[in-house]
Amino acid sequence: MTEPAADRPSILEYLQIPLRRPWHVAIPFVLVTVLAVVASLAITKTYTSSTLILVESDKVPQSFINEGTRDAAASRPRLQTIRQEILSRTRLERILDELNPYPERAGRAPLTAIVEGMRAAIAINVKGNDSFTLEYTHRDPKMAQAVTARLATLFIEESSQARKTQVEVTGEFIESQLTEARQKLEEKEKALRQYKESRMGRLPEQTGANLAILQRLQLEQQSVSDSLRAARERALLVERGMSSSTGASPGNDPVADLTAARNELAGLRARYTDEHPDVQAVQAKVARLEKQVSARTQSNQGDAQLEQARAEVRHLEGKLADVDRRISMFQGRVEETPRTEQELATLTRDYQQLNQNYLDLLRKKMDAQMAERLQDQWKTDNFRILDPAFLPERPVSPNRWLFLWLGMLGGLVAGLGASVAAEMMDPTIKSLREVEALLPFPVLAALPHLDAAVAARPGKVAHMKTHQASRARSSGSRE
Amino acid sequence: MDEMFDPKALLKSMGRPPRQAPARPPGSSIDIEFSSAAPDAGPVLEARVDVTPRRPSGALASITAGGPVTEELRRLRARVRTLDTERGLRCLGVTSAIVGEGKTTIAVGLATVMAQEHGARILLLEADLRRPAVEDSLGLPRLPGLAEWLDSGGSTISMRRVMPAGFHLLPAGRSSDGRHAEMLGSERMKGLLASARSTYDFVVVDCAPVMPVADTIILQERIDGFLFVVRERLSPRETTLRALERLQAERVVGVVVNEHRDFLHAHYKYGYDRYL
Ligand SMILES: Nc1ncnc2c1ncn2[C@@H]1O[C@H](COP(=O)(O)OP(=O)(O)O)[C@@H](O)[C@H]1O
Ligand SMILES: [Mg+2]
Repeated sequence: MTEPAADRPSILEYLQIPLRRPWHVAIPFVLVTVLAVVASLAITKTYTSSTLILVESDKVPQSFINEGTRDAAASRPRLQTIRQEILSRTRLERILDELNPYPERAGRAPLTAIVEGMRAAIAINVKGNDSFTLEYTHRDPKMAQAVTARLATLFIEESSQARKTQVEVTGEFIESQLTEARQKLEEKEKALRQYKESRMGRLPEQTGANLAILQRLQLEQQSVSDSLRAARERALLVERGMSSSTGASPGNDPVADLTAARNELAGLRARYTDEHPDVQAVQAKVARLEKQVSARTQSNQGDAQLEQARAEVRHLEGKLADVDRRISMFQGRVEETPRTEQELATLTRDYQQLNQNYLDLLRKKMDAQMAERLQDQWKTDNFRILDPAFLPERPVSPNRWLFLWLGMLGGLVAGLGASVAAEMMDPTIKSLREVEALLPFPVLAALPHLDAAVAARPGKVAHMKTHQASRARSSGSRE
Repeated sequence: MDEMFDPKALLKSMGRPPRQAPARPPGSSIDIEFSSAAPDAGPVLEARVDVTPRRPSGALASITAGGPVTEELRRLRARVRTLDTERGLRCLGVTSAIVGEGKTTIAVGLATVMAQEHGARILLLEADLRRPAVEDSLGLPRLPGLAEWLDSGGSTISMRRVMPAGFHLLPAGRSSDGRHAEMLGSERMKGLLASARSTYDFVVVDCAPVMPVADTIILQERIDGFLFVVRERLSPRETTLRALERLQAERVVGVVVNEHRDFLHAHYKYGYDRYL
């Protein structure tokens, strides 16, 4: 009792506690185990359906697909992002709408909470690097299957839809660009045409013709100027001839003299014969006058000639001026041609660039259309359902065995705890060691437990029997 | 029941009773020996009837069956003998703090093993008037005993010799009123104990528990010492300490631990399995 360690229970004594208090262990153990089993029976069963989805690489030969579609192929969601894709709120809401797996909560709980609950019931496990499983747990096996299947198909539909849309968007973009390019091209074309029109005759391809015309004009100029000179000379001649005849004639009118002479003659003739001197004289006068008149007529003729010559000169002069003007015009044209050529080259280059751009776009558009058609034909889906969602036959939860084992474990822990707690709270003296430590008297003996079979436990039945026997004996002795 | 208080028997047995009561077929009849009622001289105690407990599975059977229980009781007997020779303790009370700690069991056991020593005259006196239990624990019929004797003012005490151990038994009997403490503190009680001390080699007194009643406190003046019983996992620490405070420390000769369990060491400690 003087040992300081005597006060403290040894580890062995702690180990004895559950043995000493088997009921404290057994009752919580049985209770918790039974509770766990009851709970496992009471808890609503849930079923899990799953589907295996394979991630496929494109079947369409890459050479068929150009930029637009290749972009779509590259944007194929990687396995890591599939989770987010499948668990997206819109998708889940759509399934909630379609299948209504939680009718008891619909309308009562906020939609976010229902979606959260559904999300928690979905599990996605990536298997290897080219497939994943999609699982959904629900208390109704059919609903579990339906939702799993719908999740899978919806995911596949939407992902191929996304790819398709991307191709379509590409097509649309190309189309809009194409329209724009066409417009620009047409504008440019118009501008070019206008420019060409404005520069008509000065175009580089017209230079040869211009030069030819110029040459011809120069020849014409030559001939015209020749004819002009000739005309001028003739006019001069005419003019000179006229001025020499006009100097001898009297100033009276020959025509009137002639008429008078002819009247005199006519009178004379009526009276005289032609041999009459008078008649002859008058005849000679008439002749002379006739000569005069004819001379006079002759000089009138020279005026007309002159006039004619002058007109010709004027005509030729005009013609020459015209030829000169045209020459200078064509010369101007020919001189302007290099500048036009330059400007035209610039314009043409722009136009050609636009044209090229337009053609490129046109080709791209055709490619895109081709890709679209290919996708329809080749079904280039990235995902394929390998194992479709099955109808679960056995519930996944509650796991009866798990409940049982956990219940037993929990019960054991609770029992051990209870026994230790009871031991701690028990105010009785626990051991011989404690007696020695506590009491200042020597321990003379330590009587062990009397075996139940031989211990003197005054059982009521035995007691009564003995009493009756003794009474019988005593009364017998009295008699 | 008038035989128990036969005045003839009282007169006949004034002298010292014979060391051995005449052997009779066990449980055949009840013979009553009586004692004198003189207040100063004390009664004469003699058992005239041998009784053998009917119940083979009684405490006696267990105690005498051999094995660890018997060995431990023999150890106790040896210590008590030593105390007797050293300090002259011949009238030893067995008490404890509360009910049910095994006072009666140990008293019976001690009486049994002491009586087993050849020729030892042992009296087991039951002084727990409130809850008599010795007869029950031995599987004997209840007969009048100490209480009746103290109450009546008569001089006859029913005595039995419990066979095969051979100790004499004076049970508590049944008292008509509740003045137990006064009864135990009476002169008659003193005389009885004096008589017993002179008649027997050793007197084992099965006492009442200390805590609830004053009986044992009063009795402690009349007896030589106490064995204080502590039952493992039953005796409350505080109550035990307080009970011991009430007793005179010099009267407590030692502690007997009851129902000592040592799960892991029992066999190594005693070695019965290998030795016997
Ligand atoms: N060592 C023991 N092993 C088993 N049972 C015992 C032991 N000691 C006593 N008992 C039982 O305990 C009960 C009370 O014992 P008892 O001796 O009558 O106590 P008390 O006399 O102190 O009130 C009895 O039924 C008895 O058989
Ligand atoms: Mg008792």
